[in-house]
Amino acid sequence: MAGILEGLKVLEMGHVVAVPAASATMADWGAEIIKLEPLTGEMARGILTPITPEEKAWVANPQYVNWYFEFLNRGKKGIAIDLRSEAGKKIMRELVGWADIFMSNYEVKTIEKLQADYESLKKINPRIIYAILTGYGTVGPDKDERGFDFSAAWARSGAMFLMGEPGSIPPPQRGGMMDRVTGAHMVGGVLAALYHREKTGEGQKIEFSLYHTGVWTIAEDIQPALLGSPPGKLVHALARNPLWNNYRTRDDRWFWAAMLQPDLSWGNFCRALGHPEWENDPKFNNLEQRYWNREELIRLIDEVLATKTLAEWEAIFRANDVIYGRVQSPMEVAADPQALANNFFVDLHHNVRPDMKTVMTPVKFVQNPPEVKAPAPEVGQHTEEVLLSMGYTWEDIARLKEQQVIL
Amino acid sequence: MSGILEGLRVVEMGHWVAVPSACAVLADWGAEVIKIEPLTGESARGLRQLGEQTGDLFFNGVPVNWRIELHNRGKRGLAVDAIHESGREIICKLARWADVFMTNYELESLTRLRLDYARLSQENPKLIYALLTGYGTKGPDKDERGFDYAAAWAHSGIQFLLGEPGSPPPPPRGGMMDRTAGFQMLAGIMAALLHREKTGEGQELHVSLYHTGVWTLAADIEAALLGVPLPKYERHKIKNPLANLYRTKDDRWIQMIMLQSDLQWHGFCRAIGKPELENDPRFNNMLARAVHCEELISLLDAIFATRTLAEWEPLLRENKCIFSRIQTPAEVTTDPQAAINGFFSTIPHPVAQELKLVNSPVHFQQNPARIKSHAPEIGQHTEEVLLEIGYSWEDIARLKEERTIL
Repeated sequence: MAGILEGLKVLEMGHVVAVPAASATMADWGAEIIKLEPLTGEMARGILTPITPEEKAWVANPQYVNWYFEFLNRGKKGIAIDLRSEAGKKIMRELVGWADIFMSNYEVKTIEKLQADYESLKKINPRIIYAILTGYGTVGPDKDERGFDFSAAWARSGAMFLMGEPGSIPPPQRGGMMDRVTGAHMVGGVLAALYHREKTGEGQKIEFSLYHTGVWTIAEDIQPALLGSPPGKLVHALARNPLWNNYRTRDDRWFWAAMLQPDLSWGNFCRALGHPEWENDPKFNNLEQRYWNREELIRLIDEVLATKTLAEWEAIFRANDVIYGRVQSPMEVAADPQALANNFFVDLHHNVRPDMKTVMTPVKFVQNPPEVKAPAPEVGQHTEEVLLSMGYTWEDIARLKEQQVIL
Repeated sequence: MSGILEGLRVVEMGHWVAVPSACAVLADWGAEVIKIEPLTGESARGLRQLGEQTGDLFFNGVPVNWRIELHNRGKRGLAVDAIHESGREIICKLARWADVFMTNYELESLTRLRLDYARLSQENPKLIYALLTGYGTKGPDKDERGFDYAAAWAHSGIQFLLGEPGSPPPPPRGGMMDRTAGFQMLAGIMAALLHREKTGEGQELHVSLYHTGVWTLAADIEAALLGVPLPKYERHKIKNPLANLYRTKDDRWIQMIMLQSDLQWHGFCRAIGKPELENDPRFNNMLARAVHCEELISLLDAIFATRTLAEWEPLLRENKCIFSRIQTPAEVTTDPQAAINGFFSTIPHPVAQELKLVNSPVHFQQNPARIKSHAPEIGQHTEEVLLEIGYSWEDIARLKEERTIL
């Protein structure tokens, strides 16, 4: 079955994570992606550059794969062009003529210097859907600040401030988290613009920022702040609804009690904890009473949960219809039968590591299922192939190589 | 200028956050969204803060159910009892009218109500049907109810990895991963609509909170798949001390994120007023800094503690450091950078006069997003919508009498 975006043409001038993640998603969905890189390759190829001797030994292993670059760039064609040269700019402009979508997270001033701004590209292809990602937006005092997701989306948005117990060190996000969230926003936006183009014939410029992605992601905290009531951090010992809280088990594991309609679950929860007498205790027997007596109740729950392991509790919770989620490690996720049953991980078909799996994107089209088509390209792996398909001859290609415009 | 999705018709049978937030974005983009709720209203209408603030937040002197406003702006509201056969008929008629049907009801309820894809695609073979589950549609946990806290944050590995070793793993903030899953659904729907334009075919698509969490954390999961899971961050042992956070004299924090630290080391040493560190052999390249990271971090801790955040920011900027202050939500709402980039809108509101809302993050330049209206009351547009799809006033009176609609 054909991929759902079969026939769609995307020119990616992206680096690091956000834009590559967006175009990898569209590649999984069947679109043709040409990734344009400088001759030295884009930055993300260097993220795993070894620093310590152990890391150097790891990279020297013949089975080593640059997995960070792989999973963000699977299924794309790679071409390497020096865009500072006139001949290189010409190739880029020709590719813009070919493409439905152009996406980039280069700095705006770099894009202007490369004459890849919307005004220039729309002259070549008025129907182009042009998507640009910045750290902090395209106007305002910080428009030229370089932003990574750690800073622009996580620290600046309020998410990092609000995480963790009061007094604890604000936790940084994990690598690329908010970039991949931004990537989903970008896919949604560019495809909506394409749908509009199908109806009207009109192209579109779309702007995204990491900062706005962060703000939308924690909109339930920004919204009350906008209304004058900024929220505070969560405190385990003072959770407003003790059935919506983090708890530790005897084997030092944690789980999240996820009962947002706690009056419906309270009886089950009491039975699961082996304290059916709590159910009708007037101190705890409804939402409001549990709120007023929450410190006592949370202490009691903490004590009970510390008597059994997570595995023991899970069997009991399931038998009693308690809604919860265990805090899993990534190794547990990688082996989780539920993740495997739902096809979270697929073969990358990498010739160096034939056994290598990669993380699938999360949208499952039932009639036109997504698939990972191929591993990530080497720097410039498809330069010749793409140039030939655009009408360049082998002589042209030889000349461009000599001039160091392409690899 | 019309919205980019002008003319698109969406039926939402959603509750809580994920599907409602995605449909709010579709409404901002110009789609016509009809939200179907049970006669008592959907679950999130009851999700109000307890205790000091029983009920809603007060704004302009009146209570506002802000979470409902945030996730349901721009929609029309229809209250239908789907258990009634005549209620089910209304939903089937709407499925014939719609381009897109979105839901995060439990799959077993949808099947019981005969509102699953198999049934609704008989009504409308061109329908795009998007379903959100907690843990996927197959496997041992397919029927587990999953909120984003449990399925997307705790179960995916995110919560395990956040925070210092030994500290309680931090829960997410409300709805974070729901709004993320909502955008995954929205992107999938757009792809399916484009495919339908070309082929005429409808589509069923599934997104789960669990898979959304796993994709959000994909770098860590990828490493785990290779058998070499990445450790938790320990602030005093970060190998690249220029990608770490530091506390200022006024107890604020700054997140530095200079990933190409050899390019930035020179400017950084100047920013912190220690040019002599630049050529110090303990620190003068990435490897040296990795080897001596604990020493450097404690040195930097002492340096950052000598100035306030407001003093540090201009120094770091002048020297081209890449960083951000760790902002509070209240600061975000008054941040000129957020305001000028259109992060917030003010819309008229029948009770509070006006209401400030958070805008969705995609900025179409030719057909900008716009919040069309405030959220509907339960069933506010039931009569209007039923009249449009062919019901008469007599039908409506009968349906009200039967308690199928409000």
